[in-house]
Amino acid sequence: MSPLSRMMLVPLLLFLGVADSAASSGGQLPRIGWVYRLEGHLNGQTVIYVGSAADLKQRLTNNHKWARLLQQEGTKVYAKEVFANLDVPSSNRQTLLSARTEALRAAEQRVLEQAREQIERANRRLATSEKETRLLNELNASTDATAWAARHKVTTSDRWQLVERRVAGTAPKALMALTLLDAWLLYRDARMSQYVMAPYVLGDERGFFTLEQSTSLLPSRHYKAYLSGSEEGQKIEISASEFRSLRDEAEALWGTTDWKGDFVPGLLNRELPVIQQPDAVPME
Amino acid sequence: MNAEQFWKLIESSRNGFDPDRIDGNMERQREELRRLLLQLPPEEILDFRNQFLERMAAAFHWDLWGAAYLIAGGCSDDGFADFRSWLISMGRRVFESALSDAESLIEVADAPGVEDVFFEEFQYVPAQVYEELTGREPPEYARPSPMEPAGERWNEDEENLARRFPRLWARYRRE
Repeated sequence: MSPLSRMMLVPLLLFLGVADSAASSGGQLPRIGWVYRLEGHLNGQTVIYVGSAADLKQRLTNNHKWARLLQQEGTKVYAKEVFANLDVPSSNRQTLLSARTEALRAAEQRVLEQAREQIERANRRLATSEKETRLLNELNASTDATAWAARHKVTTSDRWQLVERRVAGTAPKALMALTLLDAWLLYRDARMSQYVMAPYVLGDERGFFTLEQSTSLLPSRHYKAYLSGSEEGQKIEISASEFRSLRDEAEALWGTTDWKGDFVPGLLNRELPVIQQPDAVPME
Repeated sequence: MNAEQFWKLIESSRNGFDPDRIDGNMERQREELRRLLLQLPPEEILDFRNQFLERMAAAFHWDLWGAAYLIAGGCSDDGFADFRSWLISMGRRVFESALSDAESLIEVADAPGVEDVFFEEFQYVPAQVYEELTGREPPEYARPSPMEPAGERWNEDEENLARRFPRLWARYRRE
């Protein structure tokens, strides 16, 4: 990028601090729990187990039905956060807890169905001598999953996050990892919930644009999405290095958040403006 | 700690139960159990935990899973753990009646003040309190969870469910 176009970077808005909001922001719904997936081997066979939890750390203890798998070397635990906008009056029991249960079970059912399809596909490709992958779950989480998911606007985080890989057969290590992860995610969520996230709006000779990254495909692709000028409405693919360069420069000028979710001031943005968000609805 | 003492603690944790309250009974019960356990020495908390897990294992039965499945409109493996945790939280009479006849739950599942039939957090209280008091995680329970439920297996086919659980089916079947 030329020095001239660097000078034309126009970040309009980055973060707005929101006073006393425990609720979601920027379209993000409150997290109500987790879905998780255990992958490992039992008796030489690849096995998968799917579950859900409001408290992931406590769920994955030695009291778990598949504790033997959890403690086994090589077992991996993946998790996704579950978000929902609980519609209590429309839920079957019209209570907060049952609404949360419906939302979590809907997410669990979706993940269960995905696992079944994935296993079926994998098993079809097997050579005759190979052992089939087995799903350990016995029963469905919900017979009304589609309705419940719609009712509570259930979504999950995009990707499975590896939260634990069993490398030694001792429980405390796994639990420690999960404790730290949970504590960190809770802290980070609390910090991040203070912000309204807005895209960097940048400019070059072709107009104003925002940066976009496609995360649904591997490898990810990067774009300039033009809001004005000769390319208005167009997405122009850029390289990952150009994307990083533009993003880094904008963050250096206007600030960002660090790994803990704390605001890191930029050269031109030393502190965050605070606004009231009247429609913030705390979950509790 | 014997069974009598275990159930007495569970009953005490239900002291604040208010049938007229729509939300909050379960959270109050969880908090009350925590308060009661905090008064015990760590080894008694472990005894309580062991008694709890013994009952979780006793309730690992296909009939109860069927009841949970019909009442809740589905019940996963994790869901069934949370259902059994709820069953214990309801006290000795409900628990033992359900073990003898899973369909007896028809009398309590929709009773006033019952917010849900899944109570995930209740089962975690002993371990959390033990950790809070000692700074350590509780030692592993000597008897691991059974892998297969007791009793006769059923499948999710409607006819099968209607035949196996006629009263529950009549009340909870999904149209």
